[in-house]
Amino acid sequence: MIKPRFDELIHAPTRLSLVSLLAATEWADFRFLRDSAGLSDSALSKQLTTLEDAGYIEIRKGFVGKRPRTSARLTIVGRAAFEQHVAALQEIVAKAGASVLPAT
Amino acid sequence: MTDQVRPEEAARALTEIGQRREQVIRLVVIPTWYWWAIAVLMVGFTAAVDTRRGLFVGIGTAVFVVGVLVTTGRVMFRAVRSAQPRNDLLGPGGVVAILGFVAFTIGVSMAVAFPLEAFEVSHAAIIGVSVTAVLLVVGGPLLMRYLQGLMLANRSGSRR
Repeated sequence: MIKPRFDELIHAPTRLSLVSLLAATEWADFRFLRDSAGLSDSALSKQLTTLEDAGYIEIRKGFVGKRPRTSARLTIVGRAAFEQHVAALQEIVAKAGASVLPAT
Repeated sequence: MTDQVRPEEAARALTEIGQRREQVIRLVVIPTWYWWAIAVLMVGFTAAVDTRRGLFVGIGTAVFVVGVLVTTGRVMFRAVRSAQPRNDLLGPGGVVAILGFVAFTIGVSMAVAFPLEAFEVSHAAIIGVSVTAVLLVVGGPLLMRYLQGLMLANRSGSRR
């Protein structure tokens, strides 16, 4: 049973998108995250650094051939925080009744 | 803080989360062209071997190996450049579906090819592989659709 806990760091719209993408992946490429979230390189780097500083994600830098490749994934802490945040959101919606249920 | 979040905002956030997860799942499908490419390469390779002429066998083998490497490499490169979905999204049902598809494809192909061979039907191997090719072209995209549906159903949130 996941204990609901609202997480302000995750709830910011851009970070919510990024963490949601990462929650469905083992690893996600920097370019995939950038294009999916519609961010510039610098804006994505800033958001990833924020999440990394919080211990929510792990960033892996490497090379494919001569090209640098950056990937990110949720840490165990990040995944737990995300699941608790989702549970908190579901709780808020549940308390309000079915009129605001999301169309997923 | 939770009290400050309106239910509508929470619902929007949950929708966003669901859409992002779906985005990842939709991305990881093996494209239809891949199944066609492998099917054509298999039939071409078998036809080349069936000629039993060294030159054709050599060319057919080279084209098959290079073709499989290039097409598979391209699909894998695309996957690496984007994102690898969580392994647990597939679940045991997905693994069973994949193994079942492989077993069914091999089983049907053998069930067609061996009797043809026994009755000395000419080009039995090509006919057998052609059946496999059809199964791949038809069944591959169906399998992908099924796996996508499974992963969408297994999204965390609906699993709890």
